[in-house]
Amino acid sequence: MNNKIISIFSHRIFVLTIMITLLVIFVSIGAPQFLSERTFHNLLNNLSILAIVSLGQMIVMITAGIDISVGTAMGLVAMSVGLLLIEFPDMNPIIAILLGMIMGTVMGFVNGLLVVKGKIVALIATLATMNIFRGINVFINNIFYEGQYIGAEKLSTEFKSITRIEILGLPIMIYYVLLIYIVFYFILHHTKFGRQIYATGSNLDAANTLGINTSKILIGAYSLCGLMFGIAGVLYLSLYTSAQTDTGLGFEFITITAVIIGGISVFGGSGILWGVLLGTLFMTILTDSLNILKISPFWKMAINGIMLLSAILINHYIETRKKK
Amino acid sequence: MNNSKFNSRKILELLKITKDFPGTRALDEVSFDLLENEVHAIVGENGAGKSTLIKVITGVHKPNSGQIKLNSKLIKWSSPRDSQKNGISAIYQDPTLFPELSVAENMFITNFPTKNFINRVDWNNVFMQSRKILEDLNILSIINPLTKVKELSIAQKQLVEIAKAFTIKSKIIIMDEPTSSLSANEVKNLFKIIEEIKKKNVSVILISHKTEDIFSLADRVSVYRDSKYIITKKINDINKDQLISYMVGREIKELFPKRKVEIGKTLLEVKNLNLRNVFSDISFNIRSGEILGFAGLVGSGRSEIAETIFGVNKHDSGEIKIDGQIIKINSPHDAIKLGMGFVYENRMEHGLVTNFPIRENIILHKLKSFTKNFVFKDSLASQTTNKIKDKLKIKSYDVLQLVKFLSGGNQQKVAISKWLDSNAKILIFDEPTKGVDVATKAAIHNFMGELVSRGVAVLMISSELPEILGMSDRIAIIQSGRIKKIIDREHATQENIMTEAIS
Repeated sequence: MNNKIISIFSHRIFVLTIMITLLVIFVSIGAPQFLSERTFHNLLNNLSILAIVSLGQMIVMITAGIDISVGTAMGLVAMSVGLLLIEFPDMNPIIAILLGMIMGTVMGFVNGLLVVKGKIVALIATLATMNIFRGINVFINNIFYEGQYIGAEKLSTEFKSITRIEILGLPIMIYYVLLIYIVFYFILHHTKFGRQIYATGSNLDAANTLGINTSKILIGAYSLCGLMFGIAGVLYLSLYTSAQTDTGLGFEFITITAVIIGGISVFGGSGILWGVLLGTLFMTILTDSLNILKISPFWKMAINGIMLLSAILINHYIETRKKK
Repeated sequence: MNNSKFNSRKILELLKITKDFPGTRALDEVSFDLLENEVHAIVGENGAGKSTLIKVITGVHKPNSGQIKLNSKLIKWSSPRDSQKNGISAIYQDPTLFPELSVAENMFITNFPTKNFINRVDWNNVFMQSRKILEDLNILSIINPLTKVKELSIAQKQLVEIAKAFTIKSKIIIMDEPTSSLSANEVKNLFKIIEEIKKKNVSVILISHKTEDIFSLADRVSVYRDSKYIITKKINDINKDQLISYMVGREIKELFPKRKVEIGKTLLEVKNLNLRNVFSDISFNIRSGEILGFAGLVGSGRSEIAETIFGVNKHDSGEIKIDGQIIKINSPHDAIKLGMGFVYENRMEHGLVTNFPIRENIILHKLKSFTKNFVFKDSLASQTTNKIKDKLKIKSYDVLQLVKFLSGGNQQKVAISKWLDSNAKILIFDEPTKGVDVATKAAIHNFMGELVSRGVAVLMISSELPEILGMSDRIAIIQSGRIKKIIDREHATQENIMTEAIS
């Protein structure tokens, strides 16, 4: 491919790598236990769940949209699948994953319909579904499980094992993530659908004029985002052996920040997924290290907010400089 | 030109097409036909309906009535995809490019060659074919298919638009102003290409404002005016003057209340004003009591020049003098403080706060004089605005009615009324009577007369030649970002303005 394109992307990836390295060095000085194998494995696991949701968020943001329902949607999937697993303890884990995928895709599809056919601004449409999903979560939890949270003892070892194997000393989750990212790299960059996602996000009117079926593309993007939080929901349940009514709280914020740090323009039409993976890694290290360093929750939230703002400002600065 | 060509069959035919948009009829029982292997030019003034006609052919707009026949078969497009599948491709005037994607991707975005069952994009094929097309068009040397479109110049982008039409097996290629941002050399090249493609059983619909394009390329030409079909002629049976008279060919029936006003000293002087890629070397002046008309085609840079003087855009070089003083204008706010006013073409976007009442819109720019110790003087505001409402005959229940519920004409009156009792001494009107009824038009023209009799200098941009001729003391004709000529009222005719504007 074009050398220039590669140089721009590698530029972003280069900068992110340096930022991550600096962050790791800084945190290790403050809290040496950060470098232990246990912390590292935890970090990779945390990263994996977020990275899958971020990938979905990224696809929607490339179309110049946004999905703030991702967190509660993931929580609802985790809760629903959890309740089913209590009802049918012998269910094959693969069936559980498939159920999560279907549920997520349908929920994403609904988001897409609201945005495209209902012509509701994405932020508002997904703000509404975010609360609806949370409401359903509380409702089914009360009806079917008397409002208790689903804990480890209720889940089969078989189901728990899908996220707890290690391969070559690394948690299996990270392999799942790499597999998903490779598949989506292919979809986004080597299929007509993928390229038209970029085109639609870049210039919706032009895409319509040229005869690209933009409704299909946009609904497709939201559905893929749903597929991602569907998968993430089941893996979350298996990994953390927990599903509660507030599962996934704040994921929308972290994924949006990670996607923007990864170089996706809030105006849509540009960005690549490797940047998003690194952006998510950065956010995971930041979140985990703030916990290890025992920073107060107030500061954690403020730091997250500052991260989001500075990422947007930096992106904006880079864009305007490139234009000149 | 051989005769057999004109006996060849019609591949596309439009019969009595009517298309309405809210408030306007863009096409009124319009007809058009296209023969095999011909270049058929469509000409007409701004707003004649050319672009709408094209969008009906490509399926972007659905006509309200009328028939479209392709190869004698009645067809109905439901989207541009349908027309593409049937071999119609269009090069639009507004860019339909995706800046973040490469040239090659832009060319094939709707019809990527794919391989195997998962529809993998065949990149080798994409790059090979796009190279081949660019090479055939003789532009491979200036456009690399792998470059991102956002890195291209405006002219290069236009060439990419053209190249896109060759990615499908087109039977009909529509070109909407294909040469508007090309250099002379590139235009020559494009002409060669068009001659080439005619030989390949392709017909071309050419929309152009440039008469030399039309006379060197077209086999036939159709003229449209005021949303209506006027005439179709073989290019050999018509000359430039006749063509222009068909384009403008109306009598000036409306009366323009041109007042006799003493022309005073120069109020606004613009010298060598430049804005890169938009306009260059703009010099003119307006005197107290004078109306300077800006004539020219849409896209010629008329509005941009006016907006730049008003501080909406920053100019690259040149100077602006008010009352002989060189001044610096960084924003419309500065311009208003210096005694300028602007009535925007798009009143919904710029001129009015439509969710506000009439009263607030009229006094918004001088709220200070209606407040005392931070308290808004309600009754004074109502009194003042009621007077203005009566004077301009704004139709509404009262001055508290929201602007969005007014008709277009009344909205325009509100937009203009802002400047009625202001102390602005230089006023710019951008298409002041676009889309308003005759009575409102007269009221607005009267108002302009009153302004100049008070010694205000007026710059009026208008696409309506009768309005330009009726209202202006002098007329500046803008073409491709330059002032082609400034003519006095006595010497101006529709024909000579149009001749300057399009050649």
